[in-house]
Amino acid sequence: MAKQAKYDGSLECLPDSILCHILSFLPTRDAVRTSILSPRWRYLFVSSISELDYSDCLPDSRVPIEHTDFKKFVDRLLFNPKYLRLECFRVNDLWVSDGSLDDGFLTIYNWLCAALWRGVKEIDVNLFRGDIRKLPTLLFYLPVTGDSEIGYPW
Amino acid sequence: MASTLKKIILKSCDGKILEVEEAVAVQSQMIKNMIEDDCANEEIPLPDITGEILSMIIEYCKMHVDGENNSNNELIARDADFITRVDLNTLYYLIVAANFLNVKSLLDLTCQRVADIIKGKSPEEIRLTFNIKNDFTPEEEEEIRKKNAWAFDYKD
Repeated sequence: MAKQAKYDGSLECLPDSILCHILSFLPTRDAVRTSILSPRWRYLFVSSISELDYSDCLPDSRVPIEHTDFKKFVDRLLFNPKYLRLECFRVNDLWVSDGSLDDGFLTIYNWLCAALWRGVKEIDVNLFRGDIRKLPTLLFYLPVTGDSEIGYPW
Repeated sequence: MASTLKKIILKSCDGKILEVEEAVAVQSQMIKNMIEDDCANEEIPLPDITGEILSMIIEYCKMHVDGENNSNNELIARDADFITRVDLNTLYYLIVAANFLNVKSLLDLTCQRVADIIKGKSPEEIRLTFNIKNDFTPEEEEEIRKKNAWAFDYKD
């Protein structure tokens, strides 16, 4: 007797690892939007994000962001690393400096430290207002090491 | 070399037997490993892959072996032609099979295709397209929407 394949031909039958692979081909915004599809999809996108680029996530990156929820999103992503597979992180300080300059800079500083801690391989930071000398020192070793083998910054 | 003419025999879950040239079969990393371990001298049973899907995968692998000397653009055009002929239902089976056989370029192509279908759609449209049952309560849904409003408030 001919045996039937056990998959019934639906997206939901695919394992999480493949769904994550599918999500990895989406822009971050589209991937995050799948979190609302059903409980199974709630956190699938987290492991699918390999590149976090502010200009992809927000329509106009030149405008300081009003979306505090986006800042919180980046916080959650970077500070809850269990499923994070981030390889590339791009940020500028215009984008976070909605209040005082120091507040925005502190946000960036913390994100960069967290990204370095997570072993992010590629970091792209554009400072328009902040002082480059105040960035985490370890950042300047990145081109030298050139891989994810980064020690703890503290 | 004689070994390049060797045939590999694959058997689908519905009993279809396919003879494939080794050069084509090794596009599958799984089969390549089996050949290297000298485990591919008899027919290889493939549970969960039907003859129809297996034929499509072999067609794809053959296309890549034959097109080895073609330009990258030509291969991309052929890939696009191959994948747009595949309906959604078949696409899932292709993904599962490409994953099992470990044909990386086909897995990427098929997953990219699903991503393209998802892209730009609202959550409601995605659920409808892929028949995803929403188990969230309206309150839970609202909370998720609020939490990442930057992703949901966006209009294309």
